Amino acid sequence: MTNSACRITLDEWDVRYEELRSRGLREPSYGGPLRRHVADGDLRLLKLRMDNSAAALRLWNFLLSEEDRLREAHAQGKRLVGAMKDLGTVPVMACSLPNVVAFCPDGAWWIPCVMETTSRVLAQSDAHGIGESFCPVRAMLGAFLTEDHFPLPGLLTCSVGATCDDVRAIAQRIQRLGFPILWWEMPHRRPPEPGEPAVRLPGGFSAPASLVAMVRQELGRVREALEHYAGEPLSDARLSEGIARANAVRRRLAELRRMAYSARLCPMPALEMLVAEMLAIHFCSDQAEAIEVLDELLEEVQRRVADRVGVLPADAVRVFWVNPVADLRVMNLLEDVGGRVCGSEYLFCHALDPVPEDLPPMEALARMALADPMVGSPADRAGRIAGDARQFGAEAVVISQIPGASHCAMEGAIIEEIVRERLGLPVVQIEVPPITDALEPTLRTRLEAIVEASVGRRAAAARPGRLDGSRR
Amino acid sequence: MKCVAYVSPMVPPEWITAHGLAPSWQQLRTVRRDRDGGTVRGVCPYAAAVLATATAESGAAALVLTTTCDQMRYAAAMVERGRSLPVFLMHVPATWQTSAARQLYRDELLRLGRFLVQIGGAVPGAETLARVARRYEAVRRQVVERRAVLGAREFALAVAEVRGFIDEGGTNVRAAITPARNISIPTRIASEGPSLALRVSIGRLSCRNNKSGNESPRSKVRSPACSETAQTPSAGIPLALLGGPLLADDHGILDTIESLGGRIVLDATESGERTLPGPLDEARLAQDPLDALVDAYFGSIPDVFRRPNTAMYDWLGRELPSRGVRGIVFRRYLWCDLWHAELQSLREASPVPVLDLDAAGDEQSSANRTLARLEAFLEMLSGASSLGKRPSSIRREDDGAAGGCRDDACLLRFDHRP
Repeated sequence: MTNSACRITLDEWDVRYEELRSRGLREPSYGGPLRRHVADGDLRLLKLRMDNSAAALRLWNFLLSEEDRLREAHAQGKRLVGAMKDLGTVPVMACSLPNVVAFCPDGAWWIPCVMETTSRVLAQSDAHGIGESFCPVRAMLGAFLTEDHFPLPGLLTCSVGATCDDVRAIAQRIQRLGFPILWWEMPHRRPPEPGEPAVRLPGGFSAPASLVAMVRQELGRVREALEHYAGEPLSDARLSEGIARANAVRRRLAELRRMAYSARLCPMPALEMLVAEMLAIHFCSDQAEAIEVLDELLEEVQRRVADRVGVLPADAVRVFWVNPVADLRVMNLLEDVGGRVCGSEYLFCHALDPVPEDLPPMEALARMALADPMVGSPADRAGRIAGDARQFGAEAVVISQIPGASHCAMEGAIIEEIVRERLGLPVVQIEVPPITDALEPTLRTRLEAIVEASVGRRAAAARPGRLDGSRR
Repeated sequence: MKCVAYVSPMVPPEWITAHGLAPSWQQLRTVRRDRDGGTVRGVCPYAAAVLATATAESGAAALVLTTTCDQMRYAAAMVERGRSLPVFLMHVPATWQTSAARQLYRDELLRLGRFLVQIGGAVPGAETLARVARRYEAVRRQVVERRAVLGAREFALAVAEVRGFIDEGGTNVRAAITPARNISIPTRIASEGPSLALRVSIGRLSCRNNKSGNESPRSKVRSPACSETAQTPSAGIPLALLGGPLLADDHGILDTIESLGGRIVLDATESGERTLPGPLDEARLAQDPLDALVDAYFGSIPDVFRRPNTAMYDWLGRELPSRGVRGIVFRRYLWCDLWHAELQSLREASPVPVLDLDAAGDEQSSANRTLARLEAFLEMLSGASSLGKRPSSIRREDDGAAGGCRDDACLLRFDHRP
């Protein structure tokens, strides 16, 4: 077993774990060998290649122990809030209350991947009328019905309006099956009309002030529900403190992304970066611990960058990745064919932007919620993707489609067109179901093609007197 | 007069008319791979039809779409990118419980008004709006009153007519509610001048004149078989048709049902009577006509996109028994999550059997499959009538335990799956 940074299999992690322990590895309460999660049904780990650092071990253990953490919180009498179709707003509010723990039931969409066939969630979803024409988020319905994956929350919220049809349809089904939901409106973010008072949102989009006010009002309803459920007031002071803690997570993620995505040698694999970014949404149900996990990961990346150590070859093609993958294995696949992720937009870039701390907290939260890339025009989102891809020096863009998702079919075409127009980069769209084993040859071929095309462009650009074709 | 195309029943045509423009409710044509270049996987056939026709040469000055479904929201972005037609995307709140949602809908109507002025409309006075709104309501009432004497197709087309431009006398719509078996409308409509140019256009996003002037849209889509086989409206097994909007080509299903011994007594599709606005409050109309429109549309139309969508179930709970409905034909488009997800809830709540028909657009086998399923459904209902079961009220989610169904509903269950 080497000490240098690399991606290793679960078998190799067994050895690595003992090695780290023998060197005095100190772990949190949820620590332990990754192998134990396979015994719990997380079979996908057997097919993944994971980073070999102690920081990555902690990250994986943190992610895979969330169910235990929720049950423990429930047993301790903490109030559980399930925030559906909400990538980062209600959890920030909920975590501002000391006795409340928030989580995203939509996160169940990874269960069919992580647990492969051992989970009953999809079968339950099928049995209740939500079949495979829906996006994998349908696993959420099965999770509610089986109660195998999280304790039932006492308060369930769902944003609707300019949101995806899959979640709003499935959430309605969940409500009809007996789980009351607090629906709150998320209006379509439109450009301000000439002369209309407008507000600059975190991340750079702008919106009419009237829409921000509307969202603020809606979040006010959520606030009242949280107060009622928690049995204590959610004051502005508490919200401000909660926002500051959320920003502590976001600042770490921003630095982690900056270092990992801009380093010449890739210091952290795409898979761990994806999992780390997901922490921004609901802190994996423990905000304080999420900060610790990110600190350790950031230290590891800083050390590797300083030592000029990478997990991938130096010439790996820099790829900007759009949308989260239903099968984590695909992030390995990109790296296996010579690529590396140098930037990402996993549907929640707004949850990575700092929440303004110089505004009244509800105003700041409303602005952040409206900055969601999915609630505006897909052209806005494509613009941000193009800007970020340029900033991180991407050589190619992969748009990962989510099967059955209401937004993907048309959105992918718009993003591809705009990225090509503005950056002239090669773009490929792939569709990633929860388990890609049967499709792996096809996916591999498509990813190989874009990597090879990028290498070809790189070579052409290096030859003097030749058009590199990198910009149109 | 410029015309403004739209496809959502949440857009009040009165509002467009009051701006001096002509609303044109679109009855779109199914996109076919061989003819139109194919559809994209994951795009519902209705959204595909909007995309296919909005990018073609069009006589419309603009297209109005709404956010009531995600696909339409993305379709608006596609049309906007194509720049073939000015497009206005109106946010229709999914929630309805709060004054904020209602206010947002009203604000969106005002924003639509500003857009209409930009494309050549005029700001309407309150009196003008009230007058137009009364005219529309009067014609809608006439259409609904004639429901019993119209065939399903005639009624569907008449409902479509009241979503279009209605001239001062309502003459262009009055023709549409004449029973099909004694109509001779083409020449009469042709002589009525400008209104013809603004009629509902079938099969294309267009407001162009019917150049020949001798064929009504209705006569174009009415199949020969239909006129020969359709029953009198009072005969046949009473059914409800529930689901998303019908495409122009889909009206054949109404004829098919009638020819098989059924009768649509409740057109609860998105393009049908379910989404007609509620009655206007005369006092409010006199005081604030826009507010009256907000109530009639946002405050009254029960639809699947609303959260929660209990109002739709309440409406079905009232209408199914009052019309004596004995079966529901549930028609949903492939990739339409909102309706698809509702199927099982409907089955659990419905006091009468539910037949699921998925519409895949240009799938060659779909017509035969639909026919076979409808035949089986109606045969089953014919047999079930001898059981003497009577429809009862629909269940709401708060009626009791989740899932399952009452015994009487289960006895009549027709759990028809592919």
